[in-house]
Amino acid sequence: MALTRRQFLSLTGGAGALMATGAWAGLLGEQVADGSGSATTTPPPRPPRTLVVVQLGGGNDGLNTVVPEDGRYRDARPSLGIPEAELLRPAGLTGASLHPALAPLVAPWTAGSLAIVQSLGYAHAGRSHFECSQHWWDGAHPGQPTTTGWIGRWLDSTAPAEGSHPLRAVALGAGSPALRAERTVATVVLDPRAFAIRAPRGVDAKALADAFVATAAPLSPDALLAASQRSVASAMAAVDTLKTPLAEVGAGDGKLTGLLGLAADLVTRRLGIEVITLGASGFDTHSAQADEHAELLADLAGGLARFSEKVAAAGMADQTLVMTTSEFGRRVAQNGSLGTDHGLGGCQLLLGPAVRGGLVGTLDLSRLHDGDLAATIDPRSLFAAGLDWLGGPTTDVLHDHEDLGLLR
Amino acid sequence: METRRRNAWLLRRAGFGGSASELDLPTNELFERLVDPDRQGVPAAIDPWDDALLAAAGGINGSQPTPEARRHAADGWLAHMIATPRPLEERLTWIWHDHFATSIDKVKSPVLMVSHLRTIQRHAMGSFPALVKAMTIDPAMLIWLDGRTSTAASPNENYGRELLELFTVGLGAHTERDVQAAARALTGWRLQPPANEAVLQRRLHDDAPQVLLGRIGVHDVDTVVDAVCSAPGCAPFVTRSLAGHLLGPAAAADEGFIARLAADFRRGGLEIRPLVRALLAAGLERRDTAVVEAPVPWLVRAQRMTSAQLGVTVRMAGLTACGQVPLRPPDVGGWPVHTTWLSSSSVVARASLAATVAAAAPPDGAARDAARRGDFDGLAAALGRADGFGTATLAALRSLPEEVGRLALALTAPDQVVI
Repeated sequence: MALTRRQFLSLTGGAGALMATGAWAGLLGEQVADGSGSATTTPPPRPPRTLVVVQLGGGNDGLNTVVPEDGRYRDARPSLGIPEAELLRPAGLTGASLHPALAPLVAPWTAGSLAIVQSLGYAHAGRSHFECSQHWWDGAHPGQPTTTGWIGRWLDSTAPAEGSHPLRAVALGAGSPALRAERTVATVVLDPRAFAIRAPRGVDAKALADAFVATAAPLSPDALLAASQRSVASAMAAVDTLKTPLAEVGAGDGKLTGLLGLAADLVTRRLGIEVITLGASGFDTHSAQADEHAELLADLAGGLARFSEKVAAAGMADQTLVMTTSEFGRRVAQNGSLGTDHGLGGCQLLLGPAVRGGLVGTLDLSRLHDGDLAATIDPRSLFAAGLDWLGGPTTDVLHDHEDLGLLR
Repeated sequence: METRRRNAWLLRRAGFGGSASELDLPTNELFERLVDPDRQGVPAAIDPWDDALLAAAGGINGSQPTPEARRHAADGWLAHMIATPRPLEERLTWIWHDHFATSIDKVKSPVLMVSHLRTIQRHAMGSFPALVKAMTIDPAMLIWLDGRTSTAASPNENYGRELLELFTVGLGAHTERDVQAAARALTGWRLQPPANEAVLQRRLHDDAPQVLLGRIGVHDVDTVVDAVCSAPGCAPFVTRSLAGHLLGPAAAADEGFIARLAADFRRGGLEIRPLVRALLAAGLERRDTAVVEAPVPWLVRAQRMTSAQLGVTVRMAGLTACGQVPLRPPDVGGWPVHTTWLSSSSVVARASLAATVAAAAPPDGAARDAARRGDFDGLAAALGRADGFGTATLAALRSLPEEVGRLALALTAPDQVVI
């Protein structure tokens, strides 16, 4: 909580829209000046690739997601272990099996477009949600804290000279601190069905929206007030561009399923979106986790399948890559509440036609680290696959990382 | 003008905004009424909840609460924030709710959540160790952070970890061993039906002495609370947290300032009221206290200033869209702060909610009246601003033809959100 002034002002990405620079700022300025309030967002001509990052908030239980064939697993989880008979054993997966709720992922696995990376985590980190999440978000070199997130740094380093348009990065459902940038604005759409100004009867909503945009200029000399003014301009521009796709959003089958469906819709509309973040909480399964975790995994797997179908139907599958993140895995042994406490190493998924499918990273239940699976792969190596696929520069953003061979 | 500016700040931060007439009171008088209402003869606050409505709701032991009861638990509190004659006490209750962030999404029972809030209200300006103890064995908290299923044979670390990391000393001031020690010493608490009272079951409790933050012999709630509250990190951590809420991030990051106030807080036995008094007195002098106001205090202020009444459903839907609903923090870390509330969604949802509030404001109220007449200085004063609107907002207000639109804009303009 003890933010410095600098950190405070650079809380842009996950936080919202603070800094618009260059031509985009100019564009917003013009809108303000002519008072039209209608954004003329011109997406870049080429359909860019879109990286979708799915946050499983709370620390997904990797061990009950991809279950190792190891007697020690059964010993540690006498009542929480997934029964043998229920496990999925798709062809080509050896030494492990999948939670039954992941059935929708068997097809991409078989097609070779799903990679499962095990033993990911930050070995030096504690087991705090906030500390571990911070490491996952910032993707920084250990010992070199940064106020930006790994996606935010990539957005900054690839920003066009004239400035980024607000839809280069879109956060659905919640903001992601991984989007924090120095210069690039992310658009946060908390509830896709409420992303428009609604005015009560008798009030001219258009006039109100125009007047609202007009409060953004002239900019105050006060930095925080100016940031607030810019947030109005870029939010209203995003509302204008997104109103058509968002109008078609249904209730959604589950949190992740709904958001992944929307993400696919946004991709197929070629709005120039390069990164989409979305996520769900609830993975912090300290108690009575079996049913809850099954529902969460079903929501995730169903959502990934829906996403893949939709982008494939639009002939845009090749332009997408989906990655999951989660702050840590959970302890090997179940606790007294039929749940699991915070652990270290976890597993994540990478999905898309560009992926070289397979199980990556070893998992060793005979060498636990204080009761936890070891974290032997730095999450930055997973991020690197995403950034390499987007075209980099990967090393500038992430410094040290390993090539895990996750891409074809 | 200086008095009006100081009073306006105090009314916003130590309460939820005040009326135009309060802007001209002597600052000392206003300050004392807010900080020490008992001594100033301010009437007691009236409990806002309807127990019969809550109790009929279920939501204990897995059953789903009725939506009415669930909404009432949160909305009754909002109504109270708007109406209370003691806004600072309610502000502190709101701050502690964020600090000990507990969600009805897991607790389920509106009865237990309201009981949790009443407990916070009772301790909000009192003794911090008493507040921590009350939270540690609070039934909603025992559900929220799994204390009720933590046993000697199999301790659950959830509460022990957050007690140290989020509630009392902070990251870096404790180790994994401290987490485990706290968890062990707090095992054995159960909720006893039918009223779900917290009771300690000896046979499930690990009474073996633990070492917690260097204190030896820690084995139960009292010794855990004593160990964490006497740790050197506690007073600075709590001071920083309250400074962040009341004065904003710059003051919270001012280490010299925090150290001075924390030393007094510690010497005074971690009594909250003197700390709040010192923070607010310092805030009146500082020039770096601007924050982006979060949706809940912003809405409460907007309704207080305009006398607008909103229905339960409308208010809950509006706050949900803004991303902040009482009793439903996103996680145990509480709500995000400051510039997070400048996210595109929050900006848009707040503007919509402002329009709803404006339309619900009584037409003969001071704010609507000034808006109708195009008296924008009067409108600013009615909304608790000492010095009018900024240039950009003023020009935008002038572009609107009618009072509801003008009032809506005035409530959601950047200079009403950054305060």
